[in-house]
Amino acid sequence: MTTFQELIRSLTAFWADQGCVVQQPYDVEVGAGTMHPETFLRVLGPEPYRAAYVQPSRRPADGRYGENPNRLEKHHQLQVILKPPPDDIQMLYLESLRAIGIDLEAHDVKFEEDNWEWPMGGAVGVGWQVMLDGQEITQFTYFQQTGGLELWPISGEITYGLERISMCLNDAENVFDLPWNEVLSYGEVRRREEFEFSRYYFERADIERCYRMLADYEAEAARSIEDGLVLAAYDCCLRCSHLFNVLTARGAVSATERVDIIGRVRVLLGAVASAYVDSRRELGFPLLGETR
Amino acid sequence: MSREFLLEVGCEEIPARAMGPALDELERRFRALLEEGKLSFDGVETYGTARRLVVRATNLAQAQDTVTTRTLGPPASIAFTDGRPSKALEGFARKSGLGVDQLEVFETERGPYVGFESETGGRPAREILADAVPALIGSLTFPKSMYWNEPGREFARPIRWVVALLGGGVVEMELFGVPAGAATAGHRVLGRPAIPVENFDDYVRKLETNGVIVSQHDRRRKIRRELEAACASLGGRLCPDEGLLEEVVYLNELPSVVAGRFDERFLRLPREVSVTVMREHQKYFAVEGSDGVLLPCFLGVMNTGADPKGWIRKGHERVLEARLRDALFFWDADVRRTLAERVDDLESLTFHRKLGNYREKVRRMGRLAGRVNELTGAGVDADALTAAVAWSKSDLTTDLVGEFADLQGIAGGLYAEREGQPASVWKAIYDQYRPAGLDDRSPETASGAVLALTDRLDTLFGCFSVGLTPRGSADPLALRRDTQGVIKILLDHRLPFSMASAIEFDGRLAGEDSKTFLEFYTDRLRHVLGKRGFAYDEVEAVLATGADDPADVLSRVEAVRAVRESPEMAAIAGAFKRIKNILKQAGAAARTGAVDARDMEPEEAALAERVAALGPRVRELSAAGAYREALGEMAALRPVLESFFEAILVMHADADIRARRLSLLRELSETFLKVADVSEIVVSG
Repeated sequence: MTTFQELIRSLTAFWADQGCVVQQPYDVEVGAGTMHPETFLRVLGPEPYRAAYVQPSRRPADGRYGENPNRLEKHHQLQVILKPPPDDIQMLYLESLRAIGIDLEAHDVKFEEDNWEWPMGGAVGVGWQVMLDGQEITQFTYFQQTGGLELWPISGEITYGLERISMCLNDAENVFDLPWNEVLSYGEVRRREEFEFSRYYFERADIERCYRMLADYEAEAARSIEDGLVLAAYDCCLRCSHLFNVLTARGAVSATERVDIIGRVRVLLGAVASAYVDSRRELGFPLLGETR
Repeated sequence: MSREFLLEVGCEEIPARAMGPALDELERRFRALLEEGKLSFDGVETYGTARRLVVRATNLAQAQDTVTTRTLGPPASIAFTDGRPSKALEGFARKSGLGVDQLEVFETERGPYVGFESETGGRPAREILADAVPALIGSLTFPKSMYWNEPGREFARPIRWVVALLGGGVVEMELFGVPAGAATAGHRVLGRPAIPVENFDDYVRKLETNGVIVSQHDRRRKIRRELEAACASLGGRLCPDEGLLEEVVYLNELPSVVAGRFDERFLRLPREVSVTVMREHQKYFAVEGSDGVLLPCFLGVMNTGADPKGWIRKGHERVLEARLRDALFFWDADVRRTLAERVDDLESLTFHRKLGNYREKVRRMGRLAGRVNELTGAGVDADALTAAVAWSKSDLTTDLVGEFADLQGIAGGLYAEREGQPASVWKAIYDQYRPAGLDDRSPETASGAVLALTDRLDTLFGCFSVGLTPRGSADPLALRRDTQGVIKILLDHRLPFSMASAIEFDGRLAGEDSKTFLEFYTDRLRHVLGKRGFAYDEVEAVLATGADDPADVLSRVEAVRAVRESPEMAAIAGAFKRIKNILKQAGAAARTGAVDARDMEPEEAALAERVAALGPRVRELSAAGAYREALGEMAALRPVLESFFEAILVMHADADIRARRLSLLRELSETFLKVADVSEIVVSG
């Protein structure tokens, strides 16, 4: 048995040994580890960086009231960002699977094409989904563009789907049966949360108020960019993205509105990305030339 | 001396679907490289897996053949004055970049000349390969590429090692910053990295012991064999899927088949849904019993030799079970609302920003479908057609299609069947996206054909009217496929049609847009007929007389093909070319004059008589679609026509006689063009 928290500990330790800054989850709701500033902003500009962290990721539309054994409104990703990616990055990744107790010789591992795009973030990447015995356990991406900017150097991103890996490790049919630690199951820790948020996202979220908040955060993001406060502006954009996802789950976003909102936030995120690179340039790109 | 060249480009996993085309391109272009480099060779073969592109050239010349060229300057007689170089000679030497003392006197047929000889060629193969291979590899085309070691320099995925051996020695070159060497790498999990190799045979052998079967042909055979064996032991037979097979051939370096089962309760799902779940998400093959009913089994292809602990089978079973559970959940949930009830939801589903939403598309289609039904004479029941069109896009709002996009149409058809709709409705909805390509089948029913035609015509007319036209290879909306779909359906069902009438009825395409579309459409028709094995000139001969009705064009092309080899036809093609030229040169002068048969030469009178009879006869035969007979009638003109041209001068000095003869030829030409412009036929021999 490998508990959920043990899995997190081993993976984190593995990547800490590879020189990653071990970060903590971001404290704003996000849909994926990619949206953590440690990825979205750090991949911009020329400075090398390595980070690893767990990111609880909210996907309101995937909620199933805690009743589906495979679907969750919130799941956990372990995100690794390697900038620039080392030549043996795939080998390192396979090593990390061995480190969490997967006997690769007794399994079927494949890298299948899966390119990644986050239209709202102006982000484009090329890569694979890593399949273990037919289960997608990791998203592996080489970033090419973020915030509409071409990246140089590029970054390698490894996103582990922790629940899925844990299900493979424990031969579990139901995510809620996973052992969180020696005593409590995943369901005991999280099932109620799945129920409440599913109910909120699908039935109760106040559509008008959410639209209002979305507009407020947009305005606040724009104002913060003018003030040169890039990080504050970025947080506002993340909130817009989450509100957009809530409204989508609520069935309140028509196709036209969808295109409009994505377009507006995309412009803001593009401005944030450019302003971030400028702010690092003003500092003289302090992480350049660091020997590590 | 000649030797073997081995190139292996070692990569991170290239998308499996891109590998087949990439290896074809590599082979073609590597041959061209050797030919342009004037290096002789016996053969070029390409091999590969997702992680390697391999070229082997056998019996490659060590160097280009050398060629001596002689350049001559002034004749020896004027090259020297008083034994000293003349101005002419000095000028020639300067222009050639040589000293006078480097020039020689050569005896030629025209006497002695001063000049020099130079050798070209002789470049070693090693040098040519080192120069040209990096550029070739760097410009291979992939559907999607990326950069990693230098901004702007793209390849499908990062290159990690390169083997380049000529006669066993490394050819020094660099691909995307990676220097070529003599070491390959084995299977990711089962093989060693950095394996030194000496030549192709050694390479293949060593990779085999390191978990890689290099030849795609060998892997395909292994998979096929194991699929057959697994089916036999399951007591069923394989549901063949060549596209999927091609993908797993490249995805796996050491493919083996793993058989698994799923719970029988999922057999409640329509077969199409289960098969799609297996294929699209999991890349599994389905198995059916001898009665054609799906078995609760699947066959996956794993990238390893065996599954000793059964973990792999178990893992695949668990994943498929979860997928099927989702599908069953969606299937049951979707039927709570009928297709009719979903029509309004289409309003929030954008078809294209410039062309509105799906609700509007369905409305437009409703109007156009009736006209298509008339034009094709398909005779589909009006109520059934109205229903099929109205509900054709409703499945886009179902969860099942949301999850499995490939089921669009099929899902709608299945839901309609479940709602108790007649076959003329549900089968039409089911088949509406067919044919998916020229190799796919057309809709089975007449109503399906009309719906599929209407859907595509609406898309095409709309797109071309707002400037969404394919440019070069960029065709994001797949309008080529749609146009070919229209043509294929009309040909497969042999339905009459008039593209011009359809465009006019739809009303959105006019002027330049209409012209652009018709050219595009004609070009696709040309392509489809070419794919059906018709020669270029046969197709051109018919298209010169119009392309409005594809099925009619097909009948004509078939007729032209059937008669083209007859000696009469060859003669007629020549004669018709002559007639066209005469009429073209005569231009506007070729007006119909008063026809006075009294002073006609006998050859002219004979032709006039035949032409007068031929016109109505060809019209009659054409109307009945008997183009072959019509062409036969024309071919029978040969002796009369030949005598005419032997005896008669068309461009007679007398304006009236000239006009009369031109008018006769014009009438004949018009009759010919009712079937085909036979002057386009290339006459052999």
